[in-house]
Amino acid sequence: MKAIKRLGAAAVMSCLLLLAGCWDKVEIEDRLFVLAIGVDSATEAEQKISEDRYTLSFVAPVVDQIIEGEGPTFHTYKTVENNLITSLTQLLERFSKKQFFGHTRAIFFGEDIMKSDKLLKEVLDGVSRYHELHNSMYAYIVPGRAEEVFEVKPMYDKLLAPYIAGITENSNYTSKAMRLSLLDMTIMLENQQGGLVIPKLVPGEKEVRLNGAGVLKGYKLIGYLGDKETSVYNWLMNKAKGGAISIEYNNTPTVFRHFTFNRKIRLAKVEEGKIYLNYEMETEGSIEEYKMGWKILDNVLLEEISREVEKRIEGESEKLIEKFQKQFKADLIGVKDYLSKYQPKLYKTIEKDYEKFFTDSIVVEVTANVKIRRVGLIK
Amino acid sequence: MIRNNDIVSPYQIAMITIMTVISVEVFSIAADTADILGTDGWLVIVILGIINIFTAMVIVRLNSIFPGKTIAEYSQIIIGTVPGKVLTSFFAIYLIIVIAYVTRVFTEVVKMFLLFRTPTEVIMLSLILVSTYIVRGGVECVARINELIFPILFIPFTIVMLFGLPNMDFSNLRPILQTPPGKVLASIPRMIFSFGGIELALYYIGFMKEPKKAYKSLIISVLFILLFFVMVIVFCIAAFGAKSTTKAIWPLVMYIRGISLPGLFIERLDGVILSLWVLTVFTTIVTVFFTASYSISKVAGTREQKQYVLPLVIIIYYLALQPGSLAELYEWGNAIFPYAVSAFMYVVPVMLLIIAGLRKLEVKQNEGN
Repeated sequence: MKAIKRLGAAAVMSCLLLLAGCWDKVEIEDRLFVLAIGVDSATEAEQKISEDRYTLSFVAPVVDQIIEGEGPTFHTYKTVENNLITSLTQLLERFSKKQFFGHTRAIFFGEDIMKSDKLLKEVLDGVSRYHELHNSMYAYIVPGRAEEVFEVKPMYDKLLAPYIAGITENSNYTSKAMRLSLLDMTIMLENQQGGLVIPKLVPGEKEVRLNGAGVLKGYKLIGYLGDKETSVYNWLMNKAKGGAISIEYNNTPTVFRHFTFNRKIRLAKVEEGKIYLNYEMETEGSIEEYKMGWKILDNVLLEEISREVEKRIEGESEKLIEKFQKQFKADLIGVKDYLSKYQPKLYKTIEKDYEKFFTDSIVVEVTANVKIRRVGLIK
Repeated sequence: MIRNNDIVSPYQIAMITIMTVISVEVFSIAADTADILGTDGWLVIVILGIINIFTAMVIVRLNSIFPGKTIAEYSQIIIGTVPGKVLTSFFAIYLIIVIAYVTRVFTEVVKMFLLFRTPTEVIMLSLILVSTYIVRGGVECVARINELIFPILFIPFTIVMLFGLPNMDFSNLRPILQTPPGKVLASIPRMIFSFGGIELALYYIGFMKEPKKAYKSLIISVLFILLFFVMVIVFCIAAFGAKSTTKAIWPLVMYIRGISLPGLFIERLDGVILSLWVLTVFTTIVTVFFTASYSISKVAGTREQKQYVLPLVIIIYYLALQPGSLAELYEWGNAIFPYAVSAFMYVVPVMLLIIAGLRKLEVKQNEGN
């Protein structure tokens, strides 16, 4: 009896050996934290076989070099494959560490990917299906090739990806920078049937610059917005927060700086098959620069300046709306969004053939309301 | 017979109901409702919740006719021994399928987001085997584990959900109430299973000292579930818009993945929340498992339910492994649960109540103890 009990106890204990263990353990030293991904279409010179479609570049920090050390603080890994997921496994075949995408901060799309709807759709499906990638990372378009971004050696930052993400996060203070996460990107593509405005990142030698934006229609790149136009686009889409607007007043450059910027859309009227919309913009801020010796703390003067700023906002907004209506023929300025949300009955009548309706029969008027609250430290 | 220390308090009944109803479907509920009704998806949950308040009242009314007895016992009094046993066996089969389904869905979620290389079988078995330990302890253990886990789960969860507020755009919920009423009504049967689990009160109220006190607890718990589901749906749609919500398999997990805490103190919250979520699935399995083994013991006429627990593990494990893929699993779920849930949640209690009323059945307070 005692022997049986002992045997039983031994059997139970041996269970501990069998049950213990972990399949998913990966030591942190073995992980390769990929901080940014660049996607390009493969050039002919790179193709090993003709099926190869993508050149993917990954950037990962070299941990022991970040704290001290003279070597490069990050490495770039490059693969050429015909799809996204085998590109990831190719890394495993060539490098000793296991890549981990939980902390990826940015994804760069080369211009050539954006020019082909087929390539873009494939890559986006792969990115949003893959469980390890978080879709809160920022997305950018790079004129030329995305891998060029990884050749940038940032002047004052040790790592590339946090540097670029930091620039994007400055969009709270400047309306010229645009902020778009991968999630926002897929949502917008979904809602606009392939329409998208995506921030453009221009790599330089020692720095990158967030400059303008790419415009997509039907999953294809159809043009770019300039630096100023991006700012106007942010106004139109109610994405702007802080920023500065410079105008000429009395032959003097005068700078109006705003910390809030709100846009509301109102339906003005529906007449003869045309829809008249009113974009109401409201902003508050201060005058930051005028001319030494000239007094600006004067209500009448401030009123006049704010009229000027209003004119500026209205004029530039209407110019950009016209560009979207006439040149791009794509509703990326929130008209459809507004109509389908707030005027669902009206929207149902024009839902079919909406694109034609947008270019021909939608009239947008912009009214701005600028309030100058402060003028800085001197009168 | 019910042992003397096996008593469930009114508070515990509320916890049991909440923790049972809220299980794996909460991952996908936003996608399901958005798929049917777009931005008005939350409406169907509100309607169902109101309907289920009445269901809860029917269940408590039925149970208070037979204090100290569960459906497994009083169904034999109402419709006769053999039909009662048949009904109870069907109930048990349904409950076993529920456990298998919940286990499998949960395994798929965990495998996708947490344990990529751990074999499915290991995830499943460890979940079921841990539950057996509680179930063998009897109804008091089941009630207490529910009571214990409720705050551990919902307080951190609600806090984390609120961190997603910057990602939200509540104008995504517009247009509001533009769906024709006919379409809303037609969508109710498709979502009926989301409240599945209230029917377990048919068993657990039987363990209460005063079944009448369950009115308040059940109604409060249905309201809680309703609010919780509406919160999840509204948050997901506000964050992604109705169109993109339907594209995700588990929008709630996507929502949590999208959250990044300010200051990057903890960058990724999905692991934390999913580990917490193990608890709610665990409690669902425990409560359902207990009723399944209890039903079997009543059909077989044994005093205890303990001995049926471990053999049931094999059946559940086998059933859970049957669906070949996630697609097949959801296909099975959609084929079985709308009917099974409406049968056991609506048809059975109402019929039993009518028959009991017609036969003028009343059990004296002291009988059966």
